[in-house]
Amino acid sequence: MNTVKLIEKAKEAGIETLEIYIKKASKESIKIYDQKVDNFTIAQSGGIALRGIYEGKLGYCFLEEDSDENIDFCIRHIKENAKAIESKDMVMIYEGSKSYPIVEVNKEIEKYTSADKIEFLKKVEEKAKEADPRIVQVMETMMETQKSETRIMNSLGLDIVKEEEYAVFYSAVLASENKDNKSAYEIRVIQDLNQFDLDAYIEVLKEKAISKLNAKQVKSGKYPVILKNEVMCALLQSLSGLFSGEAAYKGISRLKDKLNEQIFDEKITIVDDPLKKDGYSTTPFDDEGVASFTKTVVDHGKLMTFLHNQKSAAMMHTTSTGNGFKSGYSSSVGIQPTNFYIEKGNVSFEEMIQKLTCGIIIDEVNGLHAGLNPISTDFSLQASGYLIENGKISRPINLIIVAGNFLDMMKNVQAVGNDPFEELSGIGSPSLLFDSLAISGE
Amino acid sequence: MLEKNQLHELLELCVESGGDHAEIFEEKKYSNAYSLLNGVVENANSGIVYGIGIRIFHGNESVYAYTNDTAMDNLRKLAHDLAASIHEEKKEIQFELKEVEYENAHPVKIDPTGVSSDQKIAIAKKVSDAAMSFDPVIQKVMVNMMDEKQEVAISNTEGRYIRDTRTRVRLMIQAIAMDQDKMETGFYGPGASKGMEFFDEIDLEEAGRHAARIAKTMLYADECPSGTMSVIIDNAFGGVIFHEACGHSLEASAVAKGQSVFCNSLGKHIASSIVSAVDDGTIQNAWGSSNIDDEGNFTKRNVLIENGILKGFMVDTLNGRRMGMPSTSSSRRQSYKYETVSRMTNTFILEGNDELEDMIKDTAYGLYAKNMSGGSVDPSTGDFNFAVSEAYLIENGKIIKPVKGATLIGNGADILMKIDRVGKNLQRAQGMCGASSGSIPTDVGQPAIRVSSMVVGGKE
Repeated sequence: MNTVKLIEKAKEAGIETLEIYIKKASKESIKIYDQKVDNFTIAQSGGIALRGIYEGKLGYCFLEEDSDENIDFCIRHIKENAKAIESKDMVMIYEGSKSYPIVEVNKEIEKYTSADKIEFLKKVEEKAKEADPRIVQVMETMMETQKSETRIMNSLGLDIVKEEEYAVFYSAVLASENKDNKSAYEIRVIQDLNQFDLDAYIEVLKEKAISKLNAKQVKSGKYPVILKNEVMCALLQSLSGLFSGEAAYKGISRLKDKLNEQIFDEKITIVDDPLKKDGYSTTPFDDEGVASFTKTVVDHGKLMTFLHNQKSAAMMHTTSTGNGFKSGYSSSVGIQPTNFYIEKGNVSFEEMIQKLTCGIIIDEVNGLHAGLNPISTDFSLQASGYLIENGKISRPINLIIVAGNFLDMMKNVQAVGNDPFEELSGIGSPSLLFDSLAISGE
Repeated sequence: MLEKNQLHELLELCVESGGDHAEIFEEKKYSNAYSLLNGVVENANSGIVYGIGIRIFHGNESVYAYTNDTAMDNLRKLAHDLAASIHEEKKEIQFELKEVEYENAHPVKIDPTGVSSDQKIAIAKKVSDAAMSFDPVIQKVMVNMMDEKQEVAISNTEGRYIRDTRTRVRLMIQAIAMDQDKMETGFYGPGASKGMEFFDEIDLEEAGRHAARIAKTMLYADECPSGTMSVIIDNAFGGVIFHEACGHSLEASAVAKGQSVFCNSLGKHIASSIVSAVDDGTIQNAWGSSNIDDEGNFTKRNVLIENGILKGFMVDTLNGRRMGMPSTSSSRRQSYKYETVSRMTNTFILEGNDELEDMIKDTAYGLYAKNMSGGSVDPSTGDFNFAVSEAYLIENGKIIKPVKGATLIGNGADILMKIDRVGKNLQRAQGMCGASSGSIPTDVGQPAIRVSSMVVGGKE
């Protein structure tokens, strides 16, 4: 689309300030099944999202058909949507930061062709199948490579571009013994295929499936529980809205009045670091063009700041923390954490286990979208893991429910592990030990 | 949209290096969305999703490409590059594209794309006001309203060329009840494959109150006890149990590769004999209905379970090849950005003979789950979970109090056998179902059912 013409026409139509957000991405995904390429996908995608200030209100519109013929459609909808807004919230389009941090994009994966990736995946599948006789099927082995460019420009003169590139792969296996099935998968970001420690990966994948075979329930009751790093990440991810400045000023975050107060155990420190080297959510600026910077959100249990975009910052009389992100190019700008993690402690996973005479490790939870109330932070989740007896893992556990309240639970943390894990979203946490959570089983 | 001769040219390019079947899915979707907080419009967004997806089969495998750059030069290159990933001998494929004409089974009276935002917002406000004024504890009400019109054109190397327009509208109401430090939510999300007439047909104020009532009830509820007990799951969204615990495991994508617990169960008893269930994409104007699936085949009513016996799966063409079964017109996708695969449409348990009151009366100790929120399942094991958004404790045949925070877990194959009562009050409810081909509109449904024993998780 001719952006100069678009800005001109918008001005003529009374749209004072216009922002043009352009996303272009290409993707390749390869799926291997039974040593054959089961699926191969190549894609080019993109879109243009527009925000314009008209009569003091912000109107949105988006397009995937990149043609000058759509200029009138856009202008009409920006105006109509702006007119529909009744909220008295402040609106603004950002003129840009003074300078932007430089973020390195790792492009190692570009060395490899589709054929190299297919070879790699076949090797993964083969090794997974051979890892143990109880692995009866490798259900899917897949790699996805994505490259994207985001450009933000506006009628105030801002014009910035960032590149992102990543490759992830995973393999999913089905293990079976005595008619008991257990599936498991392990997903990893990969940069250099030749440097990747495949044997270590296969060992993790195998253990995830095999160690849970013939799992049974435990008796219902309250138990000391170790929430493994991956589970903590999943909880933190689902509850990251607690730290949203928008949820705070709208009064729908339970932390709304808790700024500068002790909200968690003093063993807990949480950092949002968009500049982390090779972080999964590393970025030089957010979707409003605000330059990224690192901040401590929770300092030894004390809430130091909410995460803000332009609007929530203005509503709470502060400045944006550079956390204004869209969930997709066409969405409105919400608030998202970047590389957001609980800092690691100094207790090893083994030491946590040794502390318990009778307890439970939970290393998998399901149904977070339903079993966790993001507002009250009550959760009641299908889970599996292991029973600990006399400081040792005694057997696997399956089909139990772990229930509690996140905010209450985080006020009393017995130990913080030294085993940080980072999810693909950039959310990270070590394993944590809690003295009592409700478990439902037999 | 592309012309027939352009599609023909692209389809021919697709099969130049050994593919045996090619398909082009072209889509243009207009959408509008409004969000209100406490009756005030906070956001309004409109736009057009547009692009095409190209799929080529070679035996039991497929390759897929999509783009929103539909200039012919780019499309030719994309089709060529995609075809080049198959290294087989070119097959003799001759075809002529012929448009399949048919009568629209889901007529729309008032096209939402032609209705002003003021009119739509007025509807959302009416709903919001009703929820807000339900009770002083209702302190936040979020109403989202969406409408969309998706035009698709599907063509393939069998010579099929067919178009469909899917119009959908939906309200999503979330009420939050607060009292000091307590906060609970209630949700209701009615929708249909209809135009604006849908909002004249439903009781808007009642919809708002419905969400508010759940939030208020839960605010003062005690924590749910945990343990194994009888569970009565009421109608409408209660059907999410069947959707999760059974529906996903009956999709060909899980069955074809032997990854479902029901793989070798066709013709066998997989449920209690009082259970029959269907997936029906033909129900007029239902949320999960359409004239054709995303491979261009006319939708059907597929019987899944009849009197406890497994009668069929939901099959798409490619998985059908692997299974040696014809398509059941069950192939769906969120948009051109997803390769289409077998999915559910409107999936529900059929009516039985029991009254809900009698089920409660005959339960010594258990849970009455009146409203569900959602859940998930692992199709390879059948293990599922779902959350109860409105629940009551039953003791000695009587409902004694509301309880909050309940989650139900179990194994699909196991639970289906334990259904010992099926009610008469069949109703469907709307949801969005997420899987490999994206998030799609589906109806779940059932009459009230009782499961003789199930694991209930709560904080007490």
